[in-house]
Order: sequence, then C-alpha cells, then structure tokens
Amino acid sequence: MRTYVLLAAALAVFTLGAGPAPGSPPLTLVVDAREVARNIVHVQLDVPIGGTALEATASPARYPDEAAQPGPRMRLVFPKWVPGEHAPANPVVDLVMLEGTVDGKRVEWQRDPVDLFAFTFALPPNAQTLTLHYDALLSSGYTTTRLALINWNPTLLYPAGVKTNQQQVDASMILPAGWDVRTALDDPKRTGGRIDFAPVTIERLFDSPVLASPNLKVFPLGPTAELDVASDSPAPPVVDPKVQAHFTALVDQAQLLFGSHHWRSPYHFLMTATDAIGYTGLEHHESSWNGVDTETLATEAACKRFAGDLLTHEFTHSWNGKYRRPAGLVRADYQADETTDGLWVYEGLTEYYSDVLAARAGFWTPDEYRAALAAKYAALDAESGRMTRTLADTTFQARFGNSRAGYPGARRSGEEYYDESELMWLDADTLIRERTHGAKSLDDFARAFYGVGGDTPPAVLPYTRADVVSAMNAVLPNDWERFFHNYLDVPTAHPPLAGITRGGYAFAFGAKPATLNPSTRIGGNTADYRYSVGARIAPKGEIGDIVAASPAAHAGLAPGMTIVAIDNRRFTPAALTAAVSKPAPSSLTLLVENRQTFETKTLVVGGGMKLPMLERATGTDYLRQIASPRAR
Amino acid sequence: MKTPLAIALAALVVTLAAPNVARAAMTSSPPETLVVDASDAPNQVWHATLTVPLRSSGDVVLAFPKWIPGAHGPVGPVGNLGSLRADAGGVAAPWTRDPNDVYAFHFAVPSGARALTLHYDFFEGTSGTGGNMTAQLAVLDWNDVVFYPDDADIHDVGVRASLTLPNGWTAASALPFATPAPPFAMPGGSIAYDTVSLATLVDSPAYMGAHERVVPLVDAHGMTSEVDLFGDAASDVEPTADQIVRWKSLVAEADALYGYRHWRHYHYLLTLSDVASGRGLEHHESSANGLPERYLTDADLYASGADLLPHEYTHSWNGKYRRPAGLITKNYQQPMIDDGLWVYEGMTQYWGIVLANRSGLARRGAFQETLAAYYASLDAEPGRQARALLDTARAQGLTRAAQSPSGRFQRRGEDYYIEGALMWLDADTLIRTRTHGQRSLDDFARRFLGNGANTPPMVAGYSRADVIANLNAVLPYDWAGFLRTHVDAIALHPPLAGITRGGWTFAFTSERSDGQIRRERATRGIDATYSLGATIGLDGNVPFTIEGRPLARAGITPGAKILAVNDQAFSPERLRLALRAAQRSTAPIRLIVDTMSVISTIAVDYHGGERYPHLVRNPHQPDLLSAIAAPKTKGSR
Repeated sequence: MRTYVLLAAALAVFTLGAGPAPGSPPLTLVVDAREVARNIVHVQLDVPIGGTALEATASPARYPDEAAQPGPRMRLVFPKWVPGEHAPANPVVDLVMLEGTVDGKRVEWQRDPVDLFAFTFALPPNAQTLTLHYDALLSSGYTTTRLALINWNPTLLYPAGVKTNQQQVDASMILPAGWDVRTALDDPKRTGGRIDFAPVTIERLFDSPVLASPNLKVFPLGPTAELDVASDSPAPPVVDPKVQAHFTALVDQAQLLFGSHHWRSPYHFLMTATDAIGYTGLEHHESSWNGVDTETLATEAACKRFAGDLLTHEFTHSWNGKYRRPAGLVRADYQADETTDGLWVYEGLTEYYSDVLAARAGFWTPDEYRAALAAKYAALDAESGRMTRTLADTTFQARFGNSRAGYPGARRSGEEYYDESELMWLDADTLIRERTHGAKSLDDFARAFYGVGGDTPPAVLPYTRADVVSAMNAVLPNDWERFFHNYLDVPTAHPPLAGITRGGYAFAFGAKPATLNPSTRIGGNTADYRYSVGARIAPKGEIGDIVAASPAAHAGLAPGMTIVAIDNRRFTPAALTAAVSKPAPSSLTLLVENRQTFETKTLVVGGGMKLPMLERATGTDYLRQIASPRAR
Repeated sequence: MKTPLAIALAALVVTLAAPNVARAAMTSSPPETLVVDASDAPNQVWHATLTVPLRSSGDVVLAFPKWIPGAHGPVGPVGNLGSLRADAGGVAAPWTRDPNDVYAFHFAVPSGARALTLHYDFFEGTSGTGGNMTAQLAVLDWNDVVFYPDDADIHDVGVRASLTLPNGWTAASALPFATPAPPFAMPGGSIAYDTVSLATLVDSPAYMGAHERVVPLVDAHGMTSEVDLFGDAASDVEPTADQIVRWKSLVAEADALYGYRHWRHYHYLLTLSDVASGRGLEHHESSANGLPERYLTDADLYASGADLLPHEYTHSWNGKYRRPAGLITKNYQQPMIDDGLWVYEGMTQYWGIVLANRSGLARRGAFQETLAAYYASLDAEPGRQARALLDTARAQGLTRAAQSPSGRFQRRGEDYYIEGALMWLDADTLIRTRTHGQRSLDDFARRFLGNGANTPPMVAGYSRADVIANLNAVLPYDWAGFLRTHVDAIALHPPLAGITRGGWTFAFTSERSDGQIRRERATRGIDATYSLGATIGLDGNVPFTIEGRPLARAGITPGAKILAVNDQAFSPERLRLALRAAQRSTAPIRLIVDTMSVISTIAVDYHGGERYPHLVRNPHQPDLLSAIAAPKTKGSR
C-alpha cells in the first residue's frame, strides 16, 4: 500500500473506492429481483435532491418546438457507455414504467429531446428526496429460469454531473426464495431474501455484477481467487479437478507475469454454465463474467474451446483494461463519449496474453497454442478488407451496432484489433527476446506497465500510445513508435508474420495438421474451406463469407447463398471435402440458392484441403519459451 | 401565402429541387460525380466511385450520411461500407476515421489536387430474407453510397449520378435523366441522371430489377404519376384492372383532400417480394415501398397492405413539404429532433387509413375495424401509465432499435403513429360536430398541407404554434389544451372521443372481425392479446406477454414455448377451444411450457373467453366515421 500511495501522488490515478465526496449524499437503490427469471427487475431509487443535477430556475426552450421548462427540477441520466462494451449501448429502451414521486406525490418527467439518456423531473419547492420506481427489462438474455447474471448498469439512474467514481450508492437486492449470490461487492448483509451491500461508488457497483442462482457452488482457486459456478442443470455444478487445477495455475501464472494484482482477494470468476446463454463474457476489476456451456467446466477437453478466448482473456483484463486503461476510455461518468483507438492494447495485448496464459496454465498444450496462432494468421490473411482498412480503424467496430451486412472479410468487420494485435505483440515479444539474447521479453514490459504500484486495490491508471512506446523503450531501445505505426495506421497486405518466423516456425497449409486450433471461434478445423475453396461454409451449405480471388469467388459464389447440391447430390461437407482432397483439379456443378432463386455455378477445386499450421523451422524455439510457465 | 403565418414561415422554406435554383447554387462549385455499378446487386453489393471537387488540400473531411430522412434517427449504415480507398490526381490519399465521429472520414490530400476520387463498396449480403436486394431486384438508397463535405449544406452540393444495371434489368426513380436523354429504356447498360442537389438525390431512391411493370396512372391532367412494380417473378407484378382503378382513385382522393400538389411527377416504387423486406419510406416525388410477393393475388395480403401507399403518398405533403422545424436540418450529420412526429407520422397515419377507405383500397368496414384495433392495442399497454405520447416520438429511435419484442407493451411502441391517428380522429369529429358538418379536418388538411398553391418539391417548416393557429382557423377552440392533454400528459387510456362522437362504441366480443380473421390466417398463430395477454405463434412460441394479464400472472416468460394445452399438443385452434371451454368451467387451463429447456406445468385461471376488439354502431349518434371514410370523388368505390 505504501507504493500505491506514492503512485497516487505521481500519476493521474482514478480510484474506485474513494470516500464520499462532500455534499454528495448516497443514492439508495433497491433492486427487487424476485422475478429475474422472467427477465425483469423492479427498482426503487431514492435520490437526495441537490448538487449539480438540480436546476433551480426555469429555462427557455433550447430546441424548436420544445416547451420552456419550469424550475426547480432534477436532471438524472441513464448510463450510456458501459465499461467494456466500447459503444453507447446501455439499453435505455429497457428502462420502463418510470415514475417519480416526491413525498408520495407524482412528479412529471421529460426526456431530453437530443440526449435520449437524460431525464428531467419537475420538483415541488423544498423537496428533499426524489423517489423513482421503474422496471428494467433484462432483455439481453443473461438469465434462465435457474440462474441470472445481474448487471447493475441497466438498473440505475444517477444525477447528471456527478463523478461516478465519487457518487456513493447504498444498494440492496431482493432475491427469489432459495437463491444465493456471489459478487465482488463487500460485506453483503443478508436478511431473508434481501441483501444489503455496503455503500460503494457507482463505478465499483457497476464493476461488481451479481451471480444469482439456487444452484451455485464455489470452487476455491488458492488464496487469491475463486470460481463461482451457477448452473441451470438439476445437479449441483461440477468442475473437473484438472480444470480447477488449470484455473489455479492461471491465477498463479498471471500474478507471476504481471508481478502484482489489483483486486482485493478473492477475485471472482463468475460463471454461468448453461447452454441457454452460451459463450460470452465481460471484464471487471475484481471479477469477470464468463458465460460457458454445460460441458466447459465438466471436462478438460471441452474447456479448451473457450480457454484462450474467454476465461484467461477476461481475467487478464483486470490488469490490462481495468487497472491500466487507454486515456480515451477514462471518463468522469458514463455519459461522456469514449474514444476507442486504444483497443489495440486494451484488447490486443489482452488477447496476446490470454493465449499465452492458456498455455502457461495448462489449458492448452504448446502445440495447441501454436495451432491457435496459425489459425488466426490464416483467417486474417484471407480478408480482402485489409488492403483498404487499417488495423486502427477496426477499433471502431463496436460503434457500428449490429450491422446485418454480410461480407465480413471484405469489410474487415471481425474486430481484428483482437487477433491481429496479438500477432503484432508476438512480433514485439520475439524481437525483444532475440535482440536481448533471451535476457528480456515482453513479460518485462508487462511487469513494469501493469505491475506499477505493486499489489493495489482497484484503481485506474490511464495511458497514451506515447506511454506504451516509452515503456517499451525501457525494456528494449527501439523505434517502437514506427513499429506500432506501421502495423496500426497503414493498410498492410499481410498480418504480422515476423513473430512466428522469428519464433522458430514457418506458417504453412497442410491437409491434416497434427494439432488443430482448440478455439471454436477462429475455425481452422477439419471442415474449414476458406483456404482451399475460398469460402466459409456452414454444415448445411450456407456461405458465410468468400475469399477474394479464390475458386469460390471465380465461381460467382457470394455470402448469403446456400449450396444445395454438388453434381446433383445434396450438399454435405464430406462430399465437398472429398472433391477438394483429389490431387488434380476437378470441375463441380453446384446448385445454389440465392435468396429463393436457384442458380447453377461451376466450381473448380482440387489439390487437397488446406488447413493452417506452424512447422518447426530453424533458430531458437521462442514460441515454446513463450508458452512455458514462468517459474516462481 | 399572404397570412402572417406564411410570412413567418418564409424563412424556413427551403427549395429542394426547383431546377433553376439548384443550378444556380451549383455554379459556384462543380458537382460531385457518383458512379454506382449495380452489376453485383444480385450478390448484395453496390460498387461506387465518387469524385469530389476540392476547394483545399491537406486534411479534407467527408461525411457519410448519418441522420436519415424518414428514419428520423442516426441510423446511416456506415458499418456496411468497405473497400474504401481514395486518390487525388493519381496519388493515393490515405484516410482515417475521426476518433469522435465514426461517420467522418479525413483524407490526406496532396497539395494542388483539384478533385478527390473515392472507390468503395456498400455490402448488404445478409442471409435469408430481409434487406433490399434479392437475386431479382434491388433498392438503392443513395445515402448508402455517397459522401459529402462534412460542413456542407445538402441543398448546395450538386451530384451527377449514373447507374450501371445488371444485364436484363431496368430501373425506376424520380431522378431526372441527363440531357440529352440517354437510352434509358435499354435493359442493362448505364443510366445517366441530371445533376441534382444531394438532398434531391437522397430523396430519389432507385428501384431496379429483372421483372418491372410500370403502371401509368393517367388522371385529368394527363399522366403525372405511376406505379413502378418490381418482383422476384414476372407473375408477381400483374395488377388487375380493378386494382389499377383503386390506385387512380387514391390519386383523385388525395387531390380532393389536399387541393394542391407539391410534386411534379410522382412514382409509387413498390417491390413485391417475400425475400426483400417490407418497407415504406416517404420522399417528395416518390415513395419506396415493399409488400409481400402475393400482395396483388392474395386477398388477405391485399387487405392488410391497403394503407401503405396512401400513407407514404400523404407524406409527400405531410412530412416532406410541411415538416416540423426540428426535422429540418442543414445536412445529414446534424441531429434531428423528433418531437413533431405526432403530426408528421400521426396525422399521416390518419389520412393514410382515411384515403385507403375513400379510394377503395381497403375493404368496406375496414375503417372501423382498424380504429378498434388501434384503440385496443394502445389501451393494453401498461407503459402508458409512465410515458406520455410525446416521449414515444422523442425517443422513437430507441424503440426502433430495440432488439427484443418481449417488453413491447411495457415500453410502449411507436405510438405517435396510431395514437396520433386516434387523436386526429378526435379533432376531426370535434370540428364536424361543432360546425354541424360544415367543416372537418379535411379543411385543415387543405389549408395546412395544400397551402394554397401547387409547388415543386420544397420544405415549409412549422412549429406547434402553427398547427394550433391553422386548427383555430378551421374551428376556434382550445387546441393548445387539446394537444397538451393528448400529447404531453400521461393518458391512462388512448383517445376514445373520436370513436364515440363518430357514432360508434368500442367493445370486446368473443367474435373475430373479418380483419382479425385475415390477420390470424396470415400469421397462422392466435392473437390472445386481450384474453391471455399474449400473441402465440403456430409453434406455441410466446414472443411477449403483457404484465398483469393471465399468462404473465401465471409466470410465463417471453420467449417461452407452449407445448401442450390441457394435455393435448399445442395448436392455435386447441388453445382457442380451451379458452371457450374455460368460460363454461371453473377449472384452469393447463399449459405445459418450455422455458429455456425447463419444462413446467402452469395453471392459467382465466375464464373470460376469447376477446376481440370491435366498434359497434350507436344509433343515437350520427355516423361520422362512415362519413369520414366515404369517397369525396365520384370515381371512387
């Protein structure tokens, strides 16, 4: 803690747990979650009247056709930018049945005509407390009949202008009978079905979602972390002892890597284990939400599918993203616009270390780690959009909402700042290792940059690209500014390959790689036709994407089409694989449905399946070193 | 145009497409040149090349349209763009996106360059149905394929566009052709359009396809409007003589209602496709419509689509020509304020259903059925206890973007449409009653929307005070108070006075109306909204429940699936029979329900039977509703 205090004096540190600011009495929030299984919570919020949100006098109309507003009134806002989502996407449309009262008497509210997340409530004179009742529809689908991951951000309005790392909230939650909870919030006091939490800032409240279920079990992961598993199966949650051992190793390896942790023990891996929600997650300082299917924790093999993309990823964010955060994502409240151009570190370096940690913790073998790198390289290299769209521009992707557009490769819409930045960081890591003859590595950067201050409670330390460059120079003097610029700011014909080759391997395509990429997200499995046919094809023949200048493109195939038949036989992946596997090219007649119009196309394929792999070349095997656990 | 009101409005009048004005504006700077290659439209891609004349070099900022007219929100599909590259005089001009605005693109332009050329694609490419492109037809909204200087006024930017079609395709739009006239009738090949303002370009979508049928609507002035039909098959675009007569009646009835026109030649652009999405988007001289493939051949679909063209056509007056001040913006990057939509959409909804009935597009009796359905649906919303009608307009973008239907009744929908219609019915019957039939809302429409003269497309802005002044000119009344009650205040029930004053009574009965039967036949589910509080699909899916109604009270969650009714496998008809049986019994209805893979048996203690909305004639009052729905011209009906 001593270093932490010194640090606070030296850097712009935003603490989450600061004491109440003067003149800012706490909000009182009661979330009645007894109907949470029906995707609805009922909320009462008491807001002390005063502060910057109180507009004491009448104001004239600001917009055409708006009526003048009488005073006094209180301006409250619904959070807009939820941390980790990188978009102004908090569902204000799911805030329903909003009603304000003062001393039991109804008061009127109006939404701002331009800022649809802001509400003004007309107040009687000398009102002390504004009481709000509303429902939050949890339509994001994080609940089943037997479990719920309850985020606080859809349940709270707060006074405009307050700093969310200062404004305190007294939060309570009422649970369905027989349900239990786990959360990173301190000191919950339980009375029957009601839980009263100790007062916290809005920032810490939002950082601490609540996992609730009648079927919840805690699995310890050493002294600093725990695995909290809720399952909607009839049996109690099960975790394979080998999986639990990998999690314990992960907690250990991450702290060895970053030389610190920035939570108050225990860190909570909050797990919803159900096929009804599936694969999803969100990072926090002292916990992470991980949505997995029913098999993931039950067997070591199934756990591999989500290990690097989810479990190790969200955990790494506690350091990279939550504690150290790009300046464009550090704001005084959740209403101010974020700029997302730092995501190549926030998500990109997290992706790099989440795969490394998946290997170091034993979720993956070193072979599987390399297979994941190969699959990512191949997928990125096949995207024609890379010729026109820079890696930096992909960091805006979350801002576009749920575009229904196809052609993901041509648009480069796959949030490439995750995977392509990973390959860039691998280049950096191997470069440091080579130039320092193994004396140093990217781990030294990680330790210096994320371990700053040693062990601390949650805090936010902003940084800029210049800070990253200077910290990299402290490890290895180099023109890092140009290094990053060349990868981020100009379109590149190919993804970064130097990390793989310098790491002692060659990228290649093979018909039957010895090890397949373990992650389901990236693909590269046996029925992946992107690198042979040049199309992403689902088991029933739907074409998800087309690779430019490939056999599929020459055949006139396009995303959204469905291959119905090959040479008058109903489409199966096996039939396509058989044709592709012939040594000589052959011409196939495809019957294709293009939005209810049937067309015939000619596809020329052959020469064997092409699946991405890494082959050992000469030189030091840095990839094996990188994938090896750090010694204590 | 001599009233004080008109003088006040003069400042807000913006000429859109009066050719002499547009050309004068463009002489100061040369137009952009836009070349759209639609040859890959069947594969869901537009290829575009845009040349922008430059006034400066260095950092040039171009904007992609964000706030889209008619959508009233910041929904320009910038995420669908791809392959964007630019050059100036043969030298590459790299671009970056503005960190604070994903719609603004900065181009580094070499010094001395006179023009910047952009190449890009717009991708649609979704699987299944929906979207605007099929293998046989496509709809080009020009705002999807254009950039412009980010601070420009869209009325000052000229664009000379051309369009290359797939082989065998033809196109239709309200855009004027370049002179001398190109061989535009040629299938495939290129169409060169005349230089227009960017505002006019975006106002003039192009419909194109392999199967086009043009139906000229010859009226008393000669042919001044046409229906341009595009289908996935030629057999889908063959209207009957009777259907053509009804379209002509629509033109005649609108003329009779509004008195003057604010377009020169009008195109009803219409796709008939089950693959393309249903749509209706208004423009000054055209409307961009989409209806199901069998619209012209299936009586149920024909009936359910009756008010689409009348609605979008009405917008040429109400919304495009007369427009709330908050929706008049300098360009597509400037935010819109949606407060006026209770006029823009609400009154259009009213005239849409009125004109559908006056023109004979709707069945006889449909007017009353429609009003009953509106009233019942609005009255079932628990959300109206919390949200005023104005807020449904102000926050319409949120409602449109909502991902899940589950909370629809708690949220409220885009109620400024149909509640707006009931409010204007209230006003119409009020005027008719107070003036003993001498005047009606038709007089307001002629005055406010017709506005005294035929004009080319232009925008005449208004405020709420202008609406009130024009209403007072028809009938002196406390219209300000009327609007406060209906628009600004929480109203526990929708406006009923128009129905009762119109000589009808709202009631629920166990009988389905003709329209109700047709709707259920089309959806193949059962509409139990007013009995159980849910609509249930053919397969038992419950997309939403209404809080406080029997299914919600029994604990059923939106997204659940009913497997069995009284231990028999679910079918809509079996649920209907169970509702009837429960009316004669004290035993609850037993449902077996699958909620996210958890199976439970739920007892629904409901004995009220089927309930469907109706209007019933009240013989003690004059039948104003039938008078409102009756044609004004001899040719109709």
